[in-house]
Order: sequence, then C-alpha cells, then structure tokens
Amino acid sequence: MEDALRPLRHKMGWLGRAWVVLLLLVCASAVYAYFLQFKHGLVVTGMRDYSPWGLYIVLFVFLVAVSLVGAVISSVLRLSNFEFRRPLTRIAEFIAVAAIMFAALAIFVDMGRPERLYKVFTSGRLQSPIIWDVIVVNTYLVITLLLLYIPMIPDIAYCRDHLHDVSWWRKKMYSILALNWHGTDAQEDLLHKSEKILVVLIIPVAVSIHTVTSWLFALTHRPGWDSTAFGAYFVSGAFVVGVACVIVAMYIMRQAFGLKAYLTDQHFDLTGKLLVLLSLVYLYFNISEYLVPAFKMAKKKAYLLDMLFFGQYSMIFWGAMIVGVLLPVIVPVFKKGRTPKVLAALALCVVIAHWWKRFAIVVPPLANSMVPIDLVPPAWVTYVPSWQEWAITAGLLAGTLLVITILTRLFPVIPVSEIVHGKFRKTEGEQGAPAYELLAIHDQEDNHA
Amino acid sequence: MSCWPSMTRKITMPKLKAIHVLQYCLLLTLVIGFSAVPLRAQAAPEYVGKIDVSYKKLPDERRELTAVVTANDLPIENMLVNFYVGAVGRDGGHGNVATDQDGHAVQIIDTNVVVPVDEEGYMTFIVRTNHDALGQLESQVRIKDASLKLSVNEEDATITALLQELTAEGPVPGEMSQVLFRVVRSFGDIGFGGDFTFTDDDGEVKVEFPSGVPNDAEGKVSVMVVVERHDDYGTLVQLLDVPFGQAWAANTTDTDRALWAGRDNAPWWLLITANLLLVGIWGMIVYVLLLVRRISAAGPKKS
Repeated sequence: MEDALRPLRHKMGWLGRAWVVLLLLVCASAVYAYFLQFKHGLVVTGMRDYSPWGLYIVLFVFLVAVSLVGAVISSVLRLSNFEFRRPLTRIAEFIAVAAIMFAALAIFVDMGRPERLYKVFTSGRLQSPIIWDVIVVNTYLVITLLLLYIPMIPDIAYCRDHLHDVSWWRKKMYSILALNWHGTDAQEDLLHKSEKILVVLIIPVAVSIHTVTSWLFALTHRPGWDSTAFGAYFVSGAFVVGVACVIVAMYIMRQAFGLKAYLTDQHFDLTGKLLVLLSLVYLYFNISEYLVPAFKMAKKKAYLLDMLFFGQYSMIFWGAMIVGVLLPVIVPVFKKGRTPKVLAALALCVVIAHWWKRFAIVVPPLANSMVPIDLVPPAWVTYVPSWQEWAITAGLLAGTLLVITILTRLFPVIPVSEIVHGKFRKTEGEQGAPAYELLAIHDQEDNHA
Repeated sequence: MSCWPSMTRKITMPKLKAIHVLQYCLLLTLVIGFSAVPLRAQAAPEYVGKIDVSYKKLPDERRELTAVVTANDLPIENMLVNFYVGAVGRDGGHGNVATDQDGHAVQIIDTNVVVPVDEEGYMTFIVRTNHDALGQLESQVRIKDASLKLSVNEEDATITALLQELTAEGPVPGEMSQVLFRVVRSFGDIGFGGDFTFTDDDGEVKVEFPSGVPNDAEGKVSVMVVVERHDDYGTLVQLLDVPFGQAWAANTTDTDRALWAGRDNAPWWLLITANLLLVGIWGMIVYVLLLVRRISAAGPKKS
C-alpha cells in the first residue's frame, strides 16, 4: 500500500507548490473582485435588465453537472457491478464534493444582497423551484460528503496506523476521523450497511439535483428554456462532463503520484467507452432540443436559433457542440482514442466545451427579452462579463481545484479497501488489539481460485 | 479478474535534474524580461480628453446639467467638474461635482436661479474641468427656454402635449419636434403613440392612450412625455398620472391554494409530497449518521 500512501508521506514538489500558489493567487484575486462587488453592488458585473443571469449561474450549472460524477462512479457503476470503477471512486468523490461545495458558493456570489440569504429559510415559498434547488443541493452535498467519508474510514485507519512521519495535526486528524476503526466484524457490518444505504440514496438525489436545476430554466416561458426535456437533457450532459472530469483527474493523478499500477490503461479504455455511450445519449438530447424548434421556427425561437446557429453566439455554440458533444462520440470509438494521453486531452477539451455549452444555454435566451424595454441601452442587450465576474468565476474554479488538491494530499487517492475487496489480514497490534493490515491484491492463488 | 498488477512492484519517479531546473528558470526569465522591456512597435497611445454637457428640464421646472468626461472614449472617474451659468467666472459659478465611475457629473439648477439670456434668446451653460494629463477641458450648451405642458381628455382617452418656447415676449409655439410618450414602469418604460409623434404648427401633438395597460393600486397610470435632445431646447420631461389604465384585480381569494399563490397557500399535494420526501431522505441520512456513530463504539475499547 506504499504507492497509495506515497503522496501523503512526501512533501509537494516544486511543480505542486507552484500549482497551489497559482490557485491561491487566483482565489485572492477573486476575493478582491468580490469585495468590489459587495461594496458597489452587482452593477460592477455585466448583468443588466436583459441578462440578470450570467457567468455565476453558468458556473453553478456547470459545477452541479460535474458533481454528478460522484453518483455515477460510486453508485451507478457499483450497482451495475463494473469492477473497473474501484480505483476511481475516491477521485470521483473528491471531485463531487469540491464541485458541489463551490456550486453552492456560486449562488451566494450571484446574490446582490447576500446578507438576505437567511430569508430563503425564513420566507421561502415551497412552490418556488429556487427553494427546491436550495433543498436538493444541500441534501446532495451532505450525501456526497458522507459517501466520501464513510468508505474512506478504513483507509483513514490505515493512515493512522502507518503514517507516523507526518505532522502532529494530521495524525490527530486521522485518529479522530478513523472513529476507532480496527476492522472488527461489527464495524464492517455497520460500514457496509451505511454504504449500501447511501449508494442507493444518492442516485435519486443526484437525478433530482440536475432535474431541479434544469427546472430553474424550464419552468419559465422563455424561448430556449421552455422545454419539457430539459431535465433529462441536463442529467445526460452532467454524466458526460462528470466522466470527462474523472478521466482528466485520473490522468493527472496517475502521472503526478505514479499510480500507473492502479489507474491502468484498461481504466482509460473502459472509461473511454463509457464516455462514448454517455455522449451518444447527450447527442440525442441535443438533436431533440434544437432540431424540433428549428423545424417549426416559431418567431421568438427563430430569433434565438438564429443567434445560436449564425449570430453572435454561433462560435460558442458550434464550438461547444463539436468539441463537447461530437468529438467524445467519435474519438474514443477508435482504440488509439482511448489511450491515456489522447483520452485525457480529449476529456479536458470536453470539460471546457461543456462550460461553454452551459454558457450557450443560459445567456443567449436572456438576450431574447420577453418584456422588451423601449429605447434600451445597447449595453443592456448584449451581456459582456466584467473582469470582476471573470475573476470571481476563475476563483471559484480555482477553489474547486484547490480543495481537490488538498484532499489528494491528505487522504489516499486509491481506495485501498475497495481494491482489496475486504481481504484484510489481522495482526496483533498494540496491547493485543487487532490491527489493520492489507494483503497484497495480486494474490495469484486467490485469483486462480 | 487479473487486471490488478502486483503491489510489490516498485515504481520510481523520474528525477528532476539540475539542468531541467536551469532551463525552466532561463525560459521564465526570458518571458518575464521580454514582457517588461518596452519593445513596442508603436508609440504609447496618446490620450485625448473630452467633456460633453447636456441639458434637461425636469417636470418641476428645475434644470439638470450632465457633464460627461472621457479620454479616448473611456470614462474618467473622480474629475471635478465646474458648472457655470451664463458665463465663466465667479458670477456664473454654480458649484462643482466629481464625476462618477461612468464619467458623469450631474448638477441641478433650482428654479430661483436667474439664468441670463442673450440677444438671440439662448441661455448658456458651461462646464469645465482641469486634468494634469488632459489639460483644461471645456464645453458649453446653448439652450432656448421651453416648456412642455400636458392635458388629458378623459372622453376619448387622449393626451395632448403642448411645446412652447418661452421668449421675452411670452410663450410661442415651439419648433416642430418629436415628442415621445411613455408609460412609466419599474424596469423600463413602454412607448406608445407610434413613431411619428411630431408637434404641429401650434406646438401641439395628440396621442391616444392604449387600452389594456394595467393601472396601480390607486387606479392611475404614470405617463412620461419627453422631448429628447432637441438642438435648441435640450431635453424636456413631463410627468402625468392618467386614469386610463385597466383595473388589475388583485387575488382576493386568499384561501386558494395554488402553485402561483403566496407562501402560506402552497397546494396540499406539494406540501405533502415535499415533506414526505424531505423527511424520508433526511431520515435516512440521520440513520446513516447514527450507524457511523456506532462504528467507534464497535471498535476495541481503549485501555
């Protein structure tokens, strides 16, 4: 298990430190930009009467989509008995936790009067989709945190027992979080029971969070948003971007932590195939979303489609469609497209393209105002984000990456107990209490049995 | 499934050699160095300052002057703009205002201020500002005093605007000008009357108020009539409340439960479903937390 613990033992190299410094600098600039926004109000952004939603909502939708990866890898693949998912679950959960935390923060940042946040709880209308979103995001955050922590307890216990050359606060942290885990039968039962409940529970909640987020748009009459298929459309898109994020994270951690033995070429091969499948479903929904109104060309929708297909948003739209929807369908079909380097590069492009896809979903329909203003200033019609918005958005993304980086340095990236299938060897630890020690997973005799 | 390789195989990380570090440092130095050296093919841009002034007569007859200070079309914030009425100098001085982040400085001239009029009937308003880099900037606007009066005919639901130029000999019909009619709303006004609402020889223009515009709680609709950026008259604004709106029936059935009703009137099916789901899911979360709490107790006792 030394491979899994190596990143936890050794200090960060210069590249890792430079990475963290860069993220901190971006976060610092975001804090300054938010200070200006808090001081002067949302007027510092590019949002106006026509576009009350902008980059922050785009980021919120994007991060909610990314967070679905936790449900996909930990739950859906587990319940479908896909064994290859085992080394990926921890990475997926790290990403999911970080993404959903900062998705909630993106909403807070979008509030012009954040000190009124408490009114959501004291005066919220249950009929409002925004209240549904608040409820479901918080529920999903709690479940994701539990689904990260609970399966990690045996690994934390392993760190407690084997990581002696780390700082005192880390030892204390492992000791507390390990919850006196020693792999007893009773503890195993409790752990597996908790995992089973969460694994089943997270699926409807994950589907709900994306469906309810889509309803923030679909429960309006606005052309481009007024669609009955938005829920399924968002969920399918979330699957694609979630898996793409895991592929990128897999590649980075494989290279950075030397985990080729665990994150093998076969993992990339299988996740590549999964990406193709999910992208095909997403492609189907995209065709349905755009072909149907394009066929009818009703007046207001025609204006929107013209903007997307040929107008000011055409580059963003077609770029997102080609890179984010078509390429992941085509490239991984070929064996060379599923090699780690190629697949990771493609996945990175898919993640970026999906951010712009969500931009194309949120912003262009807002330019098509349902209540036009007479003699509206041109600056109000075309949404151009200000530097403060870009800085805050970049800061939230940097924060997400920073949380993932910190988690990978504090906890094992490879879920040790997942891989071993519970094959523990109990030895005698201090004062006769059972200690937790793993068998090597490549046990020839067991595999041939 | 034999896809898991041996855990005992040692994996060594490639060593970062000193030569690599040196190469990266050299590259970084070159990048920073060249970005710092002023190797511009073109000269640094020259800033050209500009100040513009506009005049607006408000409904209460006060006059509003707005100065906009820019440099290369970019607004300049925090520039002190001096306002003058009639002529530059102590007698004409009318205060100074700093520009905001859009480069705007607004000064109101009260009705009791006597504005001198020249032989041609023009009032002159001057704005001036001084900047170290941009130098002294000055602009002026010459305006003929005018008034915009509104009257309402309730029988045919029309509004008549009368534009008059206020001369020394008394009011005379104003020049042919476009008059804009708007319904005042919270977030942007709605125009009505069509695109060709120009005054006639008598300075009058009459438009019909559209039907179907909802009124406020007092049964009134606020209308704003504007002559916008006239060469001689500047901008003239008048406000009027008209009784032509359509009564908006408030939801008086407070006991109706609906998705669009108030907070206390959510539909029963929504209340039951939402609460069942919340109790169910969070109940399971709490149960899981209790199970997790028992993990610690299920371990060996610490001696």
